[in-house]
Amino acid sequence: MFLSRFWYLVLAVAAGAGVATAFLAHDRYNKARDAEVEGLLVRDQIIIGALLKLDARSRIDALAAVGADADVRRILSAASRRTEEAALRELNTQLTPRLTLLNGQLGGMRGDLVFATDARGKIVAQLGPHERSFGAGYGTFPLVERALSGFLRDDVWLFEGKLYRMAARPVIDNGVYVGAIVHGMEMNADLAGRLSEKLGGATVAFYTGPQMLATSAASTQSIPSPREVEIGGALPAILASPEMRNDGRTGIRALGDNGRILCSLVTGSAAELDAGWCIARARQQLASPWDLLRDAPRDSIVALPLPYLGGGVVLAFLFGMFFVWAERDRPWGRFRKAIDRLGRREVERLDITAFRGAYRRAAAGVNDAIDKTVERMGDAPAKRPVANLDDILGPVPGAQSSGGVTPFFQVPAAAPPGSPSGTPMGGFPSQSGGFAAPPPSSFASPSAPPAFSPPPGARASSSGPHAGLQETSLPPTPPMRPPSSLAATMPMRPGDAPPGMGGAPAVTLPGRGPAPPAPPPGGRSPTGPISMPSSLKSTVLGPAGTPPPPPAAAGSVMQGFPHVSVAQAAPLSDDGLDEGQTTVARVPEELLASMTGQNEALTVAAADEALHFRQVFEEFVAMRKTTGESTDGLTYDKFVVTLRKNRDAILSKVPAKSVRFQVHIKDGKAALKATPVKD
Amino acid sequence: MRASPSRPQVPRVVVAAVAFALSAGAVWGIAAAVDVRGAFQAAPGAAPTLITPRRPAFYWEEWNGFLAPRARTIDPPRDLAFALVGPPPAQQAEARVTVELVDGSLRPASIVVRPGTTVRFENRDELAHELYGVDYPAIGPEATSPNAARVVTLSDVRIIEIRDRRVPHLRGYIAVTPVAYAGNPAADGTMTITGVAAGSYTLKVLFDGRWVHEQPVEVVEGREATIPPIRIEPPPGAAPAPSTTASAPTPPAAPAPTPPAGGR
Repeated sequence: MFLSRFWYLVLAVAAGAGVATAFLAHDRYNKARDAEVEGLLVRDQIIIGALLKLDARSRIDALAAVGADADVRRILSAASRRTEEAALRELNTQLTPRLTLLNGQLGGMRGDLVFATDARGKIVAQLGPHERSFGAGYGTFPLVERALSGFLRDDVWLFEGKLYRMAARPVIDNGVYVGAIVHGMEMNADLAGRLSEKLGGATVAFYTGPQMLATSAASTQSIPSPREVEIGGALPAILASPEMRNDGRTGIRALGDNGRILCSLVTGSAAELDAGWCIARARQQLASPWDLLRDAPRDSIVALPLPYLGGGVVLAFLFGMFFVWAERDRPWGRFRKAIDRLGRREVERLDITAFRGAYRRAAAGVNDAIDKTVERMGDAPAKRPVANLDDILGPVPGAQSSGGVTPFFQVPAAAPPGSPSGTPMGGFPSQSGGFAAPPPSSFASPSAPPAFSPPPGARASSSGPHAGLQETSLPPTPPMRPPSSLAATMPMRPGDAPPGMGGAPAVTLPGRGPAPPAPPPGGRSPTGPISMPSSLKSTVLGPAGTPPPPPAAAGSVMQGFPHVSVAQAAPLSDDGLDEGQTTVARVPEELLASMTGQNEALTVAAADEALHFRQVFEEFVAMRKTTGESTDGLTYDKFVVTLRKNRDAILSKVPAKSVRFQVHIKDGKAALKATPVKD
Repeated sequence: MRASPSRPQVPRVVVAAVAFALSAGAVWGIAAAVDVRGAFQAAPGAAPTLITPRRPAFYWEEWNGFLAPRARTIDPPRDLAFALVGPPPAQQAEARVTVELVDGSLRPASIVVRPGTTVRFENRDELAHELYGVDYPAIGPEATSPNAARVVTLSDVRIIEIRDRRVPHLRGYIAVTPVAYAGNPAADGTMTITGVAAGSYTLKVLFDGRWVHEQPVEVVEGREATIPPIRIEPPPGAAPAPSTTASAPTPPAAPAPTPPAGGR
């Protein structure tokens, strides 16, 4: 399931990257919209200032017709020279209708508050609400004062609770300033609406202090515009802000979570009364990344590379399905078929080598269950049968590439039903702790092993192509001077042989077949210094003159050593050695390694294994002789190579520490069974 | 028995004589007080400083192009106040001063009062006003309806700036200082302080919230004191006077100077 899981990881990473991208895009979109809104507010501020300025200019210019009216000039000139109330009332009666007419002629510039003053600033006539009595005046108001001084000017007044954008210009008659015309238009919701329309959807509000005077929210926006209550709620904080107190305007501020606002005092004397205007715009924010898709424009969707996206999706799906099939469906199918075959009694056990991973464990469990069931029913032997090695390992690794060196180890690919080698293969015998079901296996040797031909130059490391190993007990070892150190060197050259070992006696130990050093010409066995730990040395060699224990006691280093043959120093012919002939073999590397004393534990284990291999070999040869099988070509080196291959194959698949082999008769022929040992 | 001692009897004639003598002395002393007269001349460009708004006061302000504009100038009864600092008069008037709110401004806009003087602001306007003292919490913002009055008593020696929260351009000054006599000039810029006792005084002039002139005045018994015309210069930092020649403005009806505390 590695590929599937890796693919799941790839998909998960891709999905996470996609989600992260969506969130990033969502955040960037919102920030971009915020920047856009803020940019619009700055633009709105400029536009509204320009509009109000143009409006003031337009009103000043519109008043020219009123100030130049002859009746107005005449009446104001007369009023400037009179102080009697009766006379002023008479002048008021004359001027009011005239002023009304002229105001009406202004059209869209018609004032909501219009009055005419004499040269002292006293009101002569007034239009609009709150008409004032005679005697009152506006002469000290900057707007009127400047108009009476000869200037055109605009202003903003807070008059009776309402904001008015004012304009005034002097009235000149006969070269004398005789009064002024003052004109005011209310800053109401109508003006806010027109400004909002020109600003393209912004909310415009007029206020004085914390009190809202007029508001116009745009109706064209798709999202709700900031309302008057929201702006009014923010006003106290805005008016109290240092920037407003010092500069008379604010920067762009947050209006709750969904808006931005910008405020400024009016340009006029009402600014001293905290009168001003605000522009607010809604933030067009996306609540979630999903909104990116929901609100995506249709043309953007059309512009997507849909074939590539779809193809990518299909490809990813197919990849996933393939991995699922290859790593789940197919093994499951095999397992299911095997179970079906088991159910149809086509096989009595599951071939666990056909499965991997969990299916192998499941198959082993099934086999174990079968064994237990059979055992309960009394149909099975009390002892769990060992499994054929091939059931566990399948074909021996490298057996085919050995060039037929060990044909008797080439087990059949599939044991025939009912045969001992193919039958009982329950769980492994629980001979070691933690290894619940070590499956012993057997090597079913072929009934007719092919002729064995040794590889060239192999004679020095083996006993010859036609010679079995002559199992001999270790003869009485001549007294050897044991070295004081663990790595004592034992001279093994013929010349250095101790007395009593013939001309060139050598110790033949189970060697590692595949890697023998090249023999010297003439087939002489390699000799040289052999290091041996003192403990092992005393064990292997035993005390001088003491015969070693019999080989049946193999099972430990001390027990295994007696199986070591002592090769005769007789020269070997090219034809190899005869059966039973004592051979000069290379000292097994395990034993050599054990004799180096680098790792005593390893040494003991290696020696134990070497002796075990030797014992198995001897037992196997003896068994073949017993069963009448030929032992031609069966050499220890070849034999042990196969043993090691099987051992390595088992250890690579089964968490065991070592492998033990047993010789038994299978179908009247000698066979081997392997049992993993965990401890 | 002991007889009680008898109280000495003062002849009524003696008492009457003493009373007459005291009364005569007082009348003589008053009769001995003299008048102090003077006048003010406004230099070109001399006018009260306009309030500097936080925001521009207008988009457009430009000359009409036909007739030369009139320059801003001083309204003496409204913008100027004077005081004589010296020996207090033998008999001081009640320390009460009245200031009117007319046409959106204070009249007078500059006054000098002694500490402890009660100032009465009478709203003669048709607008409501809400006066307050700048940086002077003793005169907090308080609305004064039309035809209503507000009374405050001033005791801190200082110059108080008065503003209006409802009429932004309104501004006035009250100088609270120990003075012997104080008042405001007439509309024509003349000044008259009547009944000044003989002695050495210092004449001080209040304009635009500061003392702009100060000179000693020696009042001699039996001789009227005349002060040379006092020239009022533009406030420092004021805009220079326009080069155009202003036509003579039509002077408004000069209100009578408000008698300050201890005034004439």
